[in-house]
Amino acid sequence: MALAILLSFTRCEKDETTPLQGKFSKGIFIVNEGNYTKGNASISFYDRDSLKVTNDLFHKINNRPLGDIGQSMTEHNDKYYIVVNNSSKIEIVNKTDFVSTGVIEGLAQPRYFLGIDNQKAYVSQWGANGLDGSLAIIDLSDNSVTKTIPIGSGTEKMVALGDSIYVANSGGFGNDSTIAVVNSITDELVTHIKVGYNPAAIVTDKNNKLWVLCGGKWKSDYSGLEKPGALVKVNPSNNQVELTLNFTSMSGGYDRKSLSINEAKDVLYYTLDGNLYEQNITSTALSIQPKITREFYNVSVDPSTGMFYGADIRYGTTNGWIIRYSPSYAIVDSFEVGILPDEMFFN
Amino acid sequence: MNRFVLTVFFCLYLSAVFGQEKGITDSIFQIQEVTISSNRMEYFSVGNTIKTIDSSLISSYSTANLSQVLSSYSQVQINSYGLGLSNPSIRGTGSSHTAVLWNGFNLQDLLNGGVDCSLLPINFVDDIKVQYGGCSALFGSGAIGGVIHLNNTLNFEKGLSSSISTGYGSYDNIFGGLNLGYSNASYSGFIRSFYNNAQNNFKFKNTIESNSPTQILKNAEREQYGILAGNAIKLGIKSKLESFVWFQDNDKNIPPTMATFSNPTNDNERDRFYRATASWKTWGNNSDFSLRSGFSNYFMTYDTSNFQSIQSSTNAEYNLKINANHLLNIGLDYTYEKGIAESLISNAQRNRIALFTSYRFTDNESKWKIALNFRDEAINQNFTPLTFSLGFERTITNSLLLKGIVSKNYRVPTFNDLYWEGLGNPNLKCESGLNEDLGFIFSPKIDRIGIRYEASGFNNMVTNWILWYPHVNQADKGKWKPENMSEVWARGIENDLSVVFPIDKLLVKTSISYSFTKSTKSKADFAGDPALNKQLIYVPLHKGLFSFTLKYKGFDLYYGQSYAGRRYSEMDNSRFVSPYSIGNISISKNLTFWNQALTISLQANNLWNSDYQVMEYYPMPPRNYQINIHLNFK
Repeated sequence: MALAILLSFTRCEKDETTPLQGKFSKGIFIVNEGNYTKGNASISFYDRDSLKVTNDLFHKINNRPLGDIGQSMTEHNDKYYIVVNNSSKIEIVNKTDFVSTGVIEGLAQPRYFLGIDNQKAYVSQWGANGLDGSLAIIDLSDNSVTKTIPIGSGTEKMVALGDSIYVANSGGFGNDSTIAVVNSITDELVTHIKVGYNPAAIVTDKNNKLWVLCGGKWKSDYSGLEKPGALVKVNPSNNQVELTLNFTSMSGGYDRKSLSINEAKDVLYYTLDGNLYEQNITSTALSIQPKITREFYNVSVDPSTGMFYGADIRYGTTNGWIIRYSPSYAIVDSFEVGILPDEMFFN
Repeated sequence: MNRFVLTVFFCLYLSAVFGQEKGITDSIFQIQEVTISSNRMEYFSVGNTIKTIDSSLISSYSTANLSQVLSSYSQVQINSYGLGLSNPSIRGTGSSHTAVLWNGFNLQDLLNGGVDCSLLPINFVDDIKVQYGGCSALFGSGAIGGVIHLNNTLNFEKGLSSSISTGYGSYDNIFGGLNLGYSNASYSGFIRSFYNNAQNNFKFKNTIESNSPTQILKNAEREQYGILAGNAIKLGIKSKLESFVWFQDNDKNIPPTMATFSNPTNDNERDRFYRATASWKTWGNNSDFSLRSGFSNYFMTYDTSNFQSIQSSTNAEYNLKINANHLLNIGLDYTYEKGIAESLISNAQRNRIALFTSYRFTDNESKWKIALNFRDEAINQNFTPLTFSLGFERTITNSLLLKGIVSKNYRVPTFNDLYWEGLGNPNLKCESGLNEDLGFIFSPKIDRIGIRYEASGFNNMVTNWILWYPHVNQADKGKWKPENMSEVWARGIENDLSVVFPIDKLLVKTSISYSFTKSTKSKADFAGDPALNKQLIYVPLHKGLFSFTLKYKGFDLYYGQSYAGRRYSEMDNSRFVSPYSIGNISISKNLTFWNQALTISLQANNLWNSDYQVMEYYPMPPRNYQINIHLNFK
């Protein structure tokens, strides 16, 4: 109660010079890419309880813009790490008040951040030419890059299982079809697992199996796909592919990296051509009917509530919207966010 | 085909009707023997608002580029990405809505429709005129918001001349130029060459990074050189041949913005182009005929991507003075364009045929001037809508002139819009604009003081503006493709007051300009479009210029203080770039050195050391200096 009164007081006193304050430890963050080279990436914060949206959060709290192309956000050690792809940096903020505490630089087109332990983190990056992807090993005590491991082309999302890190190589400006396996104790590349064309996202299920979303191989004129994408199941204990479910769509409009899993870790959700599909981990065939048919840039499930958040980018150069769906796929409401909303982080 | 035939018959009819009174009178006007390219502007551009850049200002800034001169001393909004790409925007229109004509040939890029004014050396231009307001009927595609006319002049009977220019400025800016010329009664020719090299490593405050550190701009080096040759030969007393050849090579590194300063990429752009024009003109007592041909081959390499644009045009034009009051023009233009790049489809080419005609009326006291122009173009055999302009000038007293013009203008789609591999839309129509302009010039003569006040109000509706956006239909899901979509309504007023007066041997000229431009998106691109009725990005509502010139016994001083108001950087106007006001000064002195004429100029740019941005997050240089030495040999 006291906190609420305190918060309401700070809101009343808010003027142009006092930055916004609030609690950001729990909620949903939408990373808005912004338009390439315009420097208008931003973070939107959505509070599940009050249903209030705070847009341009980083700028409001820290009095400076986030940078160019907001890629992803995650948490580690009571801090949020926001990867700003075309500014080649990662902004570090406190979980509580979103105040900037540091920056990681010395990167080359970073994409995703994975905290390993208190000392160390991995950052996937595409490299200056978009083809020589790598993992940058970060020393968290001084936010410096200690080592860079070449991994593949278009190094993208990563997951950890014990001491093994599985990194998807999505092709970048070229093509790739491997998952790299890295030992997080020795920081050495162990092996590559061949999956479908241009894998971009990986999640782990309740049986500790890996599921990989593969985008498909583009034609050289980018008018469509030459080879289809797929959903691939990998057994990490022997690094073997257990199941490959090929998609039939060859249109390849949106980038395919939207893959999420429910809290019970037995139902997968992925977007294909803007539509959302549900896939049970025990199924051996793709579900044919999409659950949501709409033009979404990205749809992610909120594990704690089972609700779906769909990112609608509208005409791409003005604010986008998030449309919320119930666990049974009924539209609930929507709210306006920043330009080109893409990745989301659920806390 | 029908429209062509109709226009031809209309012209023939007109000439038949008025042809009977073919009296030869020299009193009102004669078809002057001017540089072939400026014909149409000279006679048929009636009612347009045209400002000439002072020619001695051009000489003082001979080591600068067009972007610097226009942004410091004109009301054209030059949108500069730092010291790099600089696009002109006139009267609140887009970066491809200003035609930049060099000796009558359009320099607009075939692939993106813009003109990088930072690459054009002032040294290669003799005459700069800025036209506020479009006129495609006279000047062709692209002249929707305005036109920048760059001309070279070839004078006869001047003998031999040669000059050397050298300049040194801040950030290791080195300039060298060599000009040679010769002309007698029947021949005139010149060769000019220049070399320029700059590091551009200036300090700036990076407001995106935490604690706004002061950084030094990196990867901003630029090197360029070029040659321009002009030749004119009089063939007898009734015809002339003229040609220009222009070669230039520009190598510039693309620096990061404040938002991308930590990026490891080092981008480089190389622009090399060859342009050549050849014209033949013949004239009689009442008519003239000219045949002109232009060719341009432009190579651009951005990092490892190559882009080549080839443009070739030929036009024939006939002027007929029916009598002292009526002047008629008819002409045909054929242009072939080809684009070669990996980003384009393999057979990107276009044929354009345009038929144009103009009619001008002047009354016997020269108090009324009216010009009616038509132009219609067929692109790959598809006709574009007819464009026209109707303008008037009415002298009310000998110090008050009323003028106005209505014009329908167009811009052909760019090759990126039409032929981008996998995404281009070959069915795009031309962008078009309907422009109205009304104004007056008040120029009383009081003793030896010259006062000139010009005011114009304009209204411009641009439609079919091409917009790239992510499509949602099944075939194109998620792909960004262009469509003719948007509509923009630009309107405003322009004011210029200039006063010239001598005080003994000192000549003072001051001028002050202010323009108000409201340019808004007038149609929603989609339901709930937040940009509807909002000011277009990078169009300032308020723009001003205060300048003065002092000339005294070989001393020339130029001072310009320009102002650009707030400019929005987002289409929904949620963010803006702060207003800026920049002062520029140039002081030069003519001396005699070893019997040769020597001019030394000292220049300071951004005199008040403003910390400003033209395009958001692109650093601009603080106060910087330049010293130029120009030696004229006789």
